[in-house]
Amino acid sequence: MIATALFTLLALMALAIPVAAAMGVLGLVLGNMYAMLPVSRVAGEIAWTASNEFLLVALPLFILLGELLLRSGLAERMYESLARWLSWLPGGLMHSNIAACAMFAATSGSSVATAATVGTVALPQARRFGYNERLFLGSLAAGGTLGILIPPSINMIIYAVLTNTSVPRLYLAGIVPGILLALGFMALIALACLWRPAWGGERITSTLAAAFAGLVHLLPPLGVFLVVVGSIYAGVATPTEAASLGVMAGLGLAAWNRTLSWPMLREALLGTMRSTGMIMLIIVAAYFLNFVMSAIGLTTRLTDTVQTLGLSKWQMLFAVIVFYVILGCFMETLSMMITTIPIIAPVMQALGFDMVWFGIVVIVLVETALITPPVGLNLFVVHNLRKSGSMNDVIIGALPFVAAMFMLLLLLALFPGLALWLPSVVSQ
Amino acid sequence: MRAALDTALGLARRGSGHAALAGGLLILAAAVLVSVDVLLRKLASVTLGGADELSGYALAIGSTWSFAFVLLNRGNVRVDALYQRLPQALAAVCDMLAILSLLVFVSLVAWHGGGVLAQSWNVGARSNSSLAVPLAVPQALWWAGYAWFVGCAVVLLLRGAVSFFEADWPAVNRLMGARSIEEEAADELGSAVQSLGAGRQP
Repeated sequence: MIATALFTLLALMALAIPVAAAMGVLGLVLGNMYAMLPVSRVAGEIAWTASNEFLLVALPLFILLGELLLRSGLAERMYESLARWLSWLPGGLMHSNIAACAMFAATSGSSVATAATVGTVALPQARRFGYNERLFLGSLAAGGTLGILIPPSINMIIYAVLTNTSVPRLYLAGIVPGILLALGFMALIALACLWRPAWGGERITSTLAAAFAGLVHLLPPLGVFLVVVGSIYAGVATPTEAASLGVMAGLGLAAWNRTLSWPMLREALLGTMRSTGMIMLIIVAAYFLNFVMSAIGLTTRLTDTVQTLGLSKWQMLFAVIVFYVILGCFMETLSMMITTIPIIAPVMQALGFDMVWFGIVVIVLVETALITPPVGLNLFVVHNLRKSGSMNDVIIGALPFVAAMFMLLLLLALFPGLALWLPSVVSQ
Repeated sequence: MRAALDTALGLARRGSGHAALAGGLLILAAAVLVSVDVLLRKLASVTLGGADELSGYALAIGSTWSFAFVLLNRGNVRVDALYQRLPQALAAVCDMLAILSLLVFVSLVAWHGGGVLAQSWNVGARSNSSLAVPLAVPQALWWAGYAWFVGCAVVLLLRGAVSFFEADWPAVNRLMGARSIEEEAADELGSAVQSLGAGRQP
């Protein structure tokens, strides 16, 4: 049964059948072969209940918030003022790249949007000030991935829905690893530029007065962060409500920056629905497949099989990490999460891993998938910005940052408290 | 035949764009409603009630209304590791299979979704909340998205089949090929670059 399922799924995927259809068709095939009763009849019921879940409403709202912020003109001024504070460090503007990404990540739940927004603003500076282009590009691709680790995060909502984990706890758990990873990226840049000072480009000087004056431009992203993430922890809002408030803040910000117009809103809404429709169809298919799998006992059988392998907790974790690194090379990251989490998370839970902690591990793995070839979307976003040169520059430039992500995974395994401390403090 | 299909496809594209935009406006309306609900609850201790339920319907309706838009813009995620290395003719076979399998699965969901709707209609089911919404209303709108998708997918499949049997592989690819990751990235950036221009205006 397991072999049939696996073979069918791989065959469908290899034929480039859309992920949603592949899961749906697999569900139908398995249902026809193994189910006692016709399972397809529940498809309608599942499709309806899956798609009007209140927590899932947060998904299009966070996507919309990202689309609005991307077009709001918020990033330019933020980047400039961060540059005034950070460009004295060895590596200069590359530190502003990371800091701007981290800050934008605190308002946006998407890694690709983060890389695109900050990259658009930052990249023109690379040539102007003579930076090592590879490292500069790498810092943008990698910095962008912080978008999903630092709350809010679209991927964490998906994880929460699939595993029944609390979104507020996941958001809290992402903060310390997110800041650590950003600092790790910056340390890496500083070390590289101490070793090869020429990589760091020309020194940009700024007066302290100008630096303080620029702080004003950090207020809008801070405000959005407080509205979206703060309202959750102040006990004012659920994640979906926080996302709604965030959309209002994003609209207000765009209006303030005079970027709000009907064509802009129209583009933002269409962009939102393109992502939402794509994800929701996969979610409906995944719910259907999961239903069929548990109805025919495949889920239990899979868990049993994994347990008879007799892997220890840590061996299993290692296997899962290897699995995601490989899969991340072939699959778009949200569909990767939706297809695999319902199967892998219960196994990890049975082995005694904390589901919030495992969620953070998964998010970091998704981040690595975004900057590893051949389908790391962030690599392509940054490469496209540049309009010339070889893709390999971006890939090579991003590699050291992948190492930093693996370091973070190791730290998370050694000190689970990095993720779990903050949620435990706040919940008390 | 071909001309008729082209007309139909043009209509499908326009209709799907409008439907997706309407879906987006529904989501935006949900955001406004939920925000008002939160603010009233916290600042004035007034509870509207039902914002969560209504926004759930907005999601259900908005997502099915954008399914066809995603399909016609080739937005469905496909694993293209092997696909990209296939000769054009074989890739076109994959494209036909892709639409066909989407059509099979979604038609089935639509069929049984219709059953859910019919049952709500027949028994006059109302939601278990203070609003007591007649479920047939949101479900009918939700189901309409599925029905529209099935119609659009049939038109796309037929139009694709015409090009397929003419062995016009580039046309098949334009209609329903998997978007390359370069196209995806270019799309993300298109909006970012636009905004940069917009942000510079006074």
